[in-house]
Formats: sequence, structure tokens, C-alpha cells
Amino acid sequence: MNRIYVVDDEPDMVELLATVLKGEGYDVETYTDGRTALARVLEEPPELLLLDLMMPDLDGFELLKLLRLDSRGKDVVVLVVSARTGHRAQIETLQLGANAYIYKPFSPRELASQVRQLLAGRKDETSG
Amino acid sequence: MARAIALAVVITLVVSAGTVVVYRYLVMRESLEAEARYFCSLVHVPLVQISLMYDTIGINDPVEERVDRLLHLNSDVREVQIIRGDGTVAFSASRDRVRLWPLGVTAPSFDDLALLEPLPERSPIGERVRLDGRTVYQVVLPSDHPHEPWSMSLLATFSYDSVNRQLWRGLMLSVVALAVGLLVTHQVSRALARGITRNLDDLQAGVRRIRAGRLDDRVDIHSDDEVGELASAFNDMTEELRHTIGRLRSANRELQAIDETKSNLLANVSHELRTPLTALKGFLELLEDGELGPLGDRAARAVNVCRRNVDRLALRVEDLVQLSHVETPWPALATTDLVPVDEVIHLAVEMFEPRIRAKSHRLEVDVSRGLPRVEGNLEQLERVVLNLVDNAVKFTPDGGSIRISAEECDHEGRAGVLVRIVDTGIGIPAAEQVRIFDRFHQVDSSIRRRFGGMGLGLALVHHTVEAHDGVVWVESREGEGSSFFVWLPCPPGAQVI
Repeated sequence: MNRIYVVDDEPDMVELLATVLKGEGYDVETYTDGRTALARVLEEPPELLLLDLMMPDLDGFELLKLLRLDSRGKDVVVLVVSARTGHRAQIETLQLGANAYIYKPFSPRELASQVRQLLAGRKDETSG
Repeated sequence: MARAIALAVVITLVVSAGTVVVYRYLVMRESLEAEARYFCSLVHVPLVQISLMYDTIGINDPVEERVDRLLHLNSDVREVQIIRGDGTVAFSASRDRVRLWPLGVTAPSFDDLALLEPLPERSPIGERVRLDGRTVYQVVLPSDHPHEPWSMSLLATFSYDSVNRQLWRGLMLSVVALAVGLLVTHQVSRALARGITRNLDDLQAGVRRIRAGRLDDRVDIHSDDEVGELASAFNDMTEELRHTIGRLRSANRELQAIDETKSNLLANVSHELRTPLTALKGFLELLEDGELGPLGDRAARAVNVCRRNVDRLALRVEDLVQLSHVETPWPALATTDLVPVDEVIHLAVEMFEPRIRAKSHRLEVDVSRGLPRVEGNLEQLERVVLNLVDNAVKFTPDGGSIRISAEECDHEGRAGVLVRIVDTGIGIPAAEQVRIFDRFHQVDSSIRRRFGGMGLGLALVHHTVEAHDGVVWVESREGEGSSFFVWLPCPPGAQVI
């Protein structure tokens, strides 16, 4: 059973993502605070982390950096979800170690497809 | 100008000097000749006496001395000859020697006896004669009784050397005087002209400085003449220019600030619109797909309408966002896919179907089979087609027709796909056709009022197509309709599967 953690400071977003992913059959945990989310991820790493960038206190960039610095966070697949479409945001997140990036607004079908691909890829990596 | 003055002065000087020199020469020559003749009259008798004495007595001792003394009375004399009536030379004397031929000794003959014929007046005759390559003055004083053996005539030869020397000296002096005169005139005329040209030079230098952009400089001429006036006018003009440029600069800065503000505003506003849109779009799709439970027919219909409108809203927001970034070129790192143009067209058709039906448009879709895929960003190309179809639907009145086609087409030797969107709408005036792809441009304000929109769609279309290395253009006639053409290149070997 694939576990997905969703992190976004907007409750509506979190609810949408949770609805979509639960509908796809995943086990979803949701967080609206970066610090809490990071602590939980390091405690029990999920297969996939859906991460928003623009959050108060600990933002997506920082969270990602801290995650990858820790040995426990190395293998977590990270899909960044953000309204920021400029090059800089993308390049930065990918350099910090994100696996993929999806823009808002997205269609749920798109998201589901991305998630499926990423998890399939991961499975190949870990098994191969 | 200095040169003209100098030339005039030179000519005057040359003519004056020449005249003076020549006149002086003539006078001096006259004088020499007159003196020569006078000398002859003076020495004739003494010389004859000396000769006679020598002939009769035969004493020659003081003769040379006396002859010499006589000859010294004229500085130009070269030779004097005393000739007897029978034509023999009694003696001949020059500055350095005297030669005597007593009677009985063969003496040279004088050639031209005719010359010794007496004249009515007993005065010397002078003549300029060429002798040994030089011109000399010959004076003849014939005796009264030329044919008597004891009569003696005088023949004297004078050289022009002294006069010639004077001539040369005169010429030399003239040349020197001329040179000095020239120099002086040159300096004087330069000084005169300098007053004028200095001002002109200053003016010219000032103009050059100001032209190079130093608008604070002024030309510093305060003379009362025309040059001064010109300088003053020029300074005024420069002052005005400086002011105008200053005003233009600050106006430009203001405009740039406004443009920046506008861009920032666009970016911020669009940003804030995206987040709620995501929630709307997401949940509506879930509802529509039945993920959140079954919907009644009417509910389903309502959800469908909501979803399509949210999609339209999202389109507009994306247009805004794209254009606020439009200065930094797209495409982003987002993947470039092989985009199936036919699918994009069908998506557009599906999206606008209800409005097309509502306006009773006749729609024709003609997409070739086996159309190769185009390399690019799927989302962006979708947006391009959607924008163009949106315009076609918007600007074609009820009952009109719209035709969308896509086919393989080469452009400038490259393989690609040509998409055509042809409508029978209100068309675009010829003058506007160039500018319709500009940002925020709409043909006129009445269009904005009647049709809404922000004037961004075509700017975005243009930008995206160019970023994909394609071409977009329009053909249109006002009142008849418009045809939009988009050509996109295909990567080599891209064929539909």
C-alpha cells in the first residue's frame, strides 16, 4: 500500500489532493504545517510526498533541503505542486532534489497520472 | 580669405617692382650711352694729338700714361681706336694696353670705312652692336677731312656691364623686397581674418561639443557682429534642447515605472487567482467524473457548465500570467512533448461546442489523417488553438461559419503542420492587421465594449508560436471574415503511429 503525504498551507488544496488520491486507492496523510510534516516524514517516510512551495514558516524549499540532508529522507519521492511557473522555482526545486513538478491549476486526472508514473518508477528503481 | 588678399597684394607688388626696375634700367642705359658719346667728343682731340705727335716725333713713352688717363674718364669704355683717313688704325687702346702702329708699319684696316664719312653735325653717333656674342655700344666720331691721310676718326666701344649689373641688383632687391612684403601681407591679412575666423572656429567647436551630447556647454562669443548673433541664437536653442531632453527622460522614466508596476500587478493578481482556481477546477472535475458520488441529470449538467467556465477562467488567467512574464522568454523546463495537433483541435472544438451551437455557427473540422506530431509544449499549444477558436467564435455573428483544418505542410524547406482557422466574422481592417498581435491591442474601444476580452490572446498566440519556431499570420477582409494560419515545425522523422 503506497503512502502519500500531502503538505500545503491551504486547507482546500489539501482536501482536494486527499480526495483525488484516496479515490485512486492511496493511503493519504495531510499536513498544513511544514515543520510538523517534516518531522512526520523523517519519523516514518512515505513513498511519495506532495509538497507545496509557498508556505509560511518553513516553506517548500527549506523543507526539501532539510529532507534531503537527512539519510532517512533520501529516498522519498517528492512531487512539487505550485502556482509558481517561472524557471527559477523549477530549477531550484529540482536542484534541491525534487523528483517532479506540477503547476497549479492542474486537473486531478493529470495529477493522478503523474503520481502513478512516479511511484511506478520508484518501484522499478528499488526493485531493479 | 587670407589667401585671396595675399594673392592680390603679390600681383600688385610684382607689377610695381617690375615697372620700377625696368624703368630704372632704361634710364641708366640712356645715361650710359649719353656719357659714352660725351666721352668720345671729349677725348677725340687729345687722342688725335697724341697720335700725331707719335707719328711725327715718335715718342711713345708717356703716351700710354696719357692715353690711360684719358680712358679713365669713362668707366664703361672697352676700346678706343683712332683711324686714319686711309682706313689704317693709328692706334688702339683699351684699359690694359695701348697699341700703336706708326706710319709705314702695316696696321690692321678698319673694315667699315663708310662709317667714317663725316656727318653734317660734328657729333658722335652711337649704336648698339652685337660683338663676340655680347651687346656693346659703339660710338663713331668721324673727322672733318676723312680722306686726308692725317685725318683721324674715333671709334669707341662701350660695354653695358655696369648697367646690367645694376639691373640684376635691382631684380634681386625686388625679389627680396617681394618676399618680405609677402610675409608681411600674409601676417597682416591673417591677423585681419583671424578676428572673423576665430569666432567662426569657436562657434564650430561649440557646435561639435554640443552635438557630442554635452548640452551644458555654451558657445562663448560676445562680438557684436553676425557671428555673435548666431552664437547667441545657438545657445538659446541648446538650452531649449536640454530642457526638452530632460523632460523626455523623466517622462520615459515614469513610463518605465508604470510598465514595471503593471507587470508586477499582473504577476501578483494572476498568482492569487490560480490557487482558488485549482480548488474549483479540481473538485468540479471530480464531481463530473463521478468520483464524489452519482449526480442527477440536472446536477450533472450544472457541474458541466461550471467546469467549462472554470476552464475558460483558467485560460484567461494563464494568458495574463504568461504575458506578465512575456519579456523573459518561455519555454520553461516543462517537457516538450510530441504534440498531437489533431487532439488539440478536437479539445478546442469540444470546449466551444455549446457556444457554437448557441450562436448557430456552422462548424467544419477537417484534420488530415496521419498528421505528424509537432514538437512543443502541449499546454501552450492547446492555449494557442483555444485562443484562436475563441476569437473565431466571438467575432463571428450568429449564423456564420467556422472552419478548422490541419494538414501537413512544408515551409521554407522544413516539414511541419499548418493549422487554419477560418471564419466569416467581422474581419480585421487592413491597417490593423499588423498590430493585432501586439499586447493589449484591440482594433478599437467599441470592440472591447461589444466583445470583452483583454486583447491578450493574440499576443500570446504570437509569442508561443514564435517560441516553438513556428509562424502565425492572418488574412482578412473587413466584413467578410478572417483566416488565421499557424504553422509549426515537426521534428524530423516524427510520424503518427
